[in-house]
Amino acid sequence: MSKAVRFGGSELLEMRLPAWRSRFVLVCIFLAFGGLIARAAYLQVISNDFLQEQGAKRLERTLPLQASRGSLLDRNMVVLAQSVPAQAVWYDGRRIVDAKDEDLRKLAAVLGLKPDRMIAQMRKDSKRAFVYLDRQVDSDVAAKAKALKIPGLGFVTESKRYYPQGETMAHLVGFTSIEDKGQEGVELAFNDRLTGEDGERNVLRDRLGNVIEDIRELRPPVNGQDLVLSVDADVQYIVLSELKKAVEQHKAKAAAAVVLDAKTGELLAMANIPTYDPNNRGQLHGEKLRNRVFTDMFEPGSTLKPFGVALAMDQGKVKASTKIDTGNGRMSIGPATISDTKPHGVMTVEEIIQKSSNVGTSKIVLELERKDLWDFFNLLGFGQTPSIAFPGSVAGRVRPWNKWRPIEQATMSYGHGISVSLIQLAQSYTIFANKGHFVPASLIKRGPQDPVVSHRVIGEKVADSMLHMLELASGPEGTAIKAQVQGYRVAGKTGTAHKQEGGRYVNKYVSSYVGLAPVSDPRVIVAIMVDEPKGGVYYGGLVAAPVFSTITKSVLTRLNVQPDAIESTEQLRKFVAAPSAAGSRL
Amino acid sequence: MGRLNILLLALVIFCAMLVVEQQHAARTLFVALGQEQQAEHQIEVAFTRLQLQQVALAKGERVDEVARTRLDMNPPAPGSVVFMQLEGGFQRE
Repeated sequence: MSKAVRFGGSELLEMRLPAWRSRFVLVCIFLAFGGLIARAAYLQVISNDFLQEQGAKRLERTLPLQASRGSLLDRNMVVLAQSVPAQAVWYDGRRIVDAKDEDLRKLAAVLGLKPDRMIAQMRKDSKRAFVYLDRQVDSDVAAKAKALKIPGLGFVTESKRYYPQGETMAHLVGFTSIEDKGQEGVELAFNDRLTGEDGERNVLRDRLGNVIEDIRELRPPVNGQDLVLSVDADVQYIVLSELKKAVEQHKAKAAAAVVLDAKTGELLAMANIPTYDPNNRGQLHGEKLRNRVFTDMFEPGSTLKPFGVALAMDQGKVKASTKIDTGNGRMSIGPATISDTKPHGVMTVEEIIQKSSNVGTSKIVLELERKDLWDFFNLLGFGQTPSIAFPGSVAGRVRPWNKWRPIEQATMSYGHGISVSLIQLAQSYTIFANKGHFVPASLIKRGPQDPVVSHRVIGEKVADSMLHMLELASGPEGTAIKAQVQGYRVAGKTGTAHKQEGGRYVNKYVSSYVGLAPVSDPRVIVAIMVDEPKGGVYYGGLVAAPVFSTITKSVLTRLNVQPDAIESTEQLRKFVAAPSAAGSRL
Repeated sequence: MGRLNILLLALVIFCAMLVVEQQHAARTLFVALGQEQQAEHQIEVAFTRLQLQQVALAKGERVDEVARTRLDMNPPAPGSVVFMQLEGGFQRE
């Protein structure tokens, strides 16, 4: 067969196609490849941030770093308030319905909740994604709950505030809300300083949830500052327990007391009865929270007498020995009459203070210019918001001088028609302890280098002479012999003021006493106020003065103040043999 | 030329393995560090708790009660209080 054998053939292959067509396809394929390469290069080399970020996002977590609230400490670094991490327990209602009943009962037992009520509530919440079950749970309790591995149960770290001193410090320290914000007292006043700033860290986690790397630099949490208060926990305890006894004994409605460091104005103690326990959240409402030292004002009564008289002496209107006729103990100004408890006849200024004569002080104070007296009250802080930053501090009430009538000027001399807070009253007595210098009260412990802020209000001689008169007032001839303290010389003034109800004076009283000790070198100022004593006696000299005496005695012993009323050093030396008494706290 | 390339390739692979190894070691250490920090935090919390407990046990109210009830102590009667004078006066706090 000459004819060539054809094994196969296609008309397509035999077609003479133009060569450019195959080249065109080839070029297209190359271009497509080129495109892919360019895209890959673009993603991986030039614009790789986006993808890396997306990748990291799938493993990255932001963890909050909780800042803790600053602690509150007393002047000897005793803890008054401190935050401890705690857990909030919550559940996802949609998932918790799957939990086993017995597990839920165990959970209720761990948390101390009523099991039936808890489970019923959970059933009700079966459509809610986030419900708090319990808050501020101690970490070890939370760990037990966690170990039950109940589906849909979650935990969030929060902090719980503890007040180890309980009711002793309640009114001063105050308390925080469940969200850790200050609500009352120092917790509120210094909330900004105590509050910290939460930090955060961004981390990578591996498949198992372990943190394996910090991505960015972490933002550290800034903890709140610790605050060292001027208060002394031991002194505070003494004051509170004595106050409690007094309220029981006199069946009083309430009582309050302040102890100030006479030299620096630092608040050593501040107590109120009734009081409350800030650890018990259910209790935090009502009358118990009232802080009578800072936020209540009252008519101080005779405790204000020394001031008008001191101003008159400072202006040279009278001297301690000037004789004044108080007559039969009654004096009429216009339609009103001022009276003493009994007639004293002619007395020296010294005796007027000692016997607490309303007529006498009125006569002296009526010699003064109204504006001078008003200015003087302002210098003493009356009618002024106290510089001590305490929430709800009242300014008190001193009416403008140009509206005073003579009778008002007279009654103000013995503390009626003028309202002050107990802290104002206590700090005004600093002028007698510091040779005429007024030292405002303060809450924060003073450093050894910090200067004492003060301003002169009256002359040194007048201040000393008034101090002497106040010592006489608590002496055998005075109104408050019960204020005396064994071993120490004390000076002070009683006050018994009628209370006003609906603009009229009623037969309810506020008994008060403000005193300082020891007289030779005053260390403390103690102010006591007993509201509505109902035990039969209501005079400041009988109700408040004994409280002053017991408190002052314990406080001076506690502060290791040297007694100044022991006749001779001989007598002191005789006692050297018995070592245990000086440090006694009780 | 060929040999040098092979050597370099081997070197590159070796370095790559080292990087992997080091990365792993770093992460393990980091996890350990995290655990230690956690432990530190827990100890701090425990310390705070103990501090609180100490204060609660030492507060005036309790001392007073224990002294009166358990130790049968009383405040000294006024006549039996004695004052001592230390050399250089009384110590102020």
